[in-house]
Amino acid sequence: MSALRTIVLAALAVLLASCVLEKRARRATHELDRSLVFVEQRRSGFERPLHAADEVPLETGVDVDSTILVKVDKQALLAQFKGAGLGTSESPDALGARKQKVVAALDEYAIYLRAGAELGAAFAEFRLARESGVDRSAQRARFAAARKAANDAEGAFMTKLGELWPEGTPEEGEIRAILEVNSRDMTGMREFLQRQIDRLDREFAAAQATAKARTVSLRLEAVLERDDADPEGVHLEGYDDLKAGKLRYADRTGLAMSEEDVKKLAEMMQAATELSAAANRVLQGEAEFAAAFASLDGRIAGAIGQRLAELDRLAKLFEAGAITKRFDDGRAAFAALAGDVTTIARDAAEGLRISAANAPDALLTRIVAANLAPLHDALEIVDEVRDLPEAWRTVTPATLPGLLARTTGLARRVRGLAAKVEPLLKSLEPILAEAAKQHFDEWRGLGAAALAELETTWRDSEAKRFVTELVADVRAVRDALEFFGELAGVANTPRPSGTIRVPEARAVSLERVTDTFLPLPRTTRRPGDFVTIRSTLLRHDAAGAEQPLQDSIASFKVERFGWHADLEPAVTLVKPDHLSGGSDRLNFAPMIGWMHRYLPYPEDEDWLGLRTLKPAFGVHATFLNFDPDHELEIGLGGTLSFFDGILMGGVGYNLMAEDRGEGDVYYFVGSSLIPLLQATGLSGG
Amino acid sequence: MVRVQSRSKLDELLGDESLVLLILAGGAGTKARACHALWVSGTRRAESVAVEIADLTILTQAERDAWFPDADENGTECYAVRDGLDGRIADSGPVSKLLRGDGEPSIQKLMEAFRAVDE
Repeated sequence: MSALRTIVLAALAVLLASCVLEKRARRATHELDRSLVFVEQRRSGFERPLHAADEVPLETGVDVDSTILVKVDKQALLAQFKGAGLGTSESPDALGARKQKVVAALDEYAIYLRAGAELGAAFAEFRLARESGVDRSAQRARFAAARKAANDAEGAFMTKLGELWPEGTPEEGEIRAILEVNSRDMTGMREFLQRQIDRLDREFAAAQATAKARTVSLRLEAVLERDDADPEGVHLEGYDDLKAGKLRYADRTGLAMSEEDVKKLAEMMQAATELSAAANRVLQGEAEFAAAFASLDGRIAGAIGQRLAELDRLAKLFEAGAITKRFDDGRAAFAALAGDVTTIARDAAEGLRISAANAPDALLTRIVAANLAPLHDALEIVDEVRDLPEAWRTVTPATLPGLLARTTGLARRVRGLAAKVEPLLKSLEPILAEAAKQHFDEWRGLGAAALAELETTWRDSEAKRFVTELVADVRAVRDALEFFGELAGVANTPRPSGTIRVPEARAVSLERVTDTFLPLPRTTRRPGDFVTIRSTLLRHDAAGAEQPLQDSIASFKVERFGWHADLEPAVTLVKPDHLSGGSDRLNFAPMIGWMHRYLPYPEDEDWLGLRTLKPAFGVHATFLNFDPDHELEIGLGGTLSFFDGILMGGVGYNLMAEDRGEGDVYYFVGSSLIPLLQATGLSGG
Repeated sequence: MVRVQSRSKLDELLGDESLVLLILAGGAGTKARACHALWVSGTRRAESVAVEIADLTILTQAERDAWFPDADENGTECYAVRDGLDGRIADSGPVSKLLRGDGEPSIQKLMEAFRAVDE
């Protein structure tokens, strides 16, 4: 049980360290950072700014049913490019409008020609009637009307020409030349207007290319990231070609389960049953801890079992005297190696001049000290972790503040452990081999046979086996500390990368930039996921290539604020209040609870410490085994838990017990499976 | 499209109700004559006729007063637009109104002058 106790106490220590809150914003560093404002719009319509004026959100919590509003200060963005001649693209629009006017003039010309033809016919008829001497009032009226229509059409057309090409322009000269030759039909006018339309089309295309070269555009990309699936792009209105998903609000009762959810829950309950059975075997002395858990089958139970068995093995490494003996054995192994190397070297070195500093034993000591020093530093941290549980076990009010500070500091140093040890783990042997080659310059005269014997001696030595096993155990300790970090939600928790691109995103020119929004209920988000919105200002060159000018990354963590409930499987240690025969035995049992939580909204005060303690309460059902004569015993009761279910306890009533002597009332402590699954890398949500 | 030198020709034109007359008062070397020359050089609408009167004495005083109200004693360098349908003077003024910015006759302004009858 001491190993288990060590594990539990170490987990508590790291858990407390996780209570240190981390900053959830970074300072704005350029105009793009300052031009983007992110606001959370809750399902109720309430809006809350997600950052202060000069900051950019960094893993800021947003509710799972909220919409993230992205407000872009277009004027501020344009202002920084005005002097450089960038930003706007009005010329193509002006050319397009001009072309429309020329097309309209062409239409007016056609109307004029038709009116002119009618006038000609009416004039001839009127003239004929006049010369014939007949009553010509009808012809007169037709002529008057046709003349007015032709004059009106001519006037409208000439006005349009004058607006498009005022006096003095080259085109006005062309028009004048056409009219001076024939102001009745204006022969050549259609061709002139068509030439203008064609020229405007060419100029429009050229202006578009030029404007594009001068244009700065904004690209927004939104990505949903989680640790158990590939990242996916999500739709930002107006900025990509992705489709918005169906609207799905999060289930806050925990009871609206899909078929897949039911399967997952059944699998977790099966795992809880198997883990409880294994723990009972250990409790009853029927199996050793590691053996009981390492032999579990099943995807979930097997993975957790392997993890627990490994933790037990590592915990034994830290038992009293274990590390001291190990390093004593290591030192002895290196001393033996030095002796063997010295013997080989002396036998082969007769006649060679070897300096005292490069004598075999002195040389070996230097190589080990120089290259294993980082490993020693890492193991110092491991030693401190070993001492910590004992310190917590004997904590007093006077020592508590110092112990908290020490634990918090240790948690931070743990995070650097992997970075410190990793390079060493990758290159330990080549480092030693290279150092040996450099230092053994003086030893080259030994001859190939002697050097080969030295290499064989190292390869087969206890010293090498010591280093190899030590490196493997340091890796295992690192993995174990990462596991506890995951359990507590700290250290090596997957973070949003901000590097994932959305191929469907489109750059929008600054003059067309608008505000946008990301409705989380239209994505596949789950609590614990991260949403990253990456904004990039781009300049386009004449060839269409993009040059990034400024980049801004805002990230958000999806949370479930307010009240919500979940069905949670757990493994518990149950004790009946009273059993006849005096055997109030402890027993591990699987349990399923319907747990209710309240996570305060970020703008609310948290005087109860809800964000830190993360309490939950609810009802549970558990499968007991107090009476071997009963095949099935079910208990129902109430549960209280803390830290997202890592610690839970409660009381219940055994439905199968007929009286107090059969254990009608029971108490329990335990832990939810969900944090364990997440820490082990299996999906828990 | 005539240069009127006799009263009889003028009466013939004034009697044709289908014609719109642009009457230009001027002689050799004047802008009025230049406008007339521009008008007659190309194909025009048949009912639009430009008439140059070099010698205003062929007009009656009443005609001079009606057609060229702003003219000086000789009535040179003026124009008038007459609607044949009702004999009304639709527009009149100095010939300078029919010139471009460079002082030469403007075909567009001559066309605009003829349209005055239907404004």
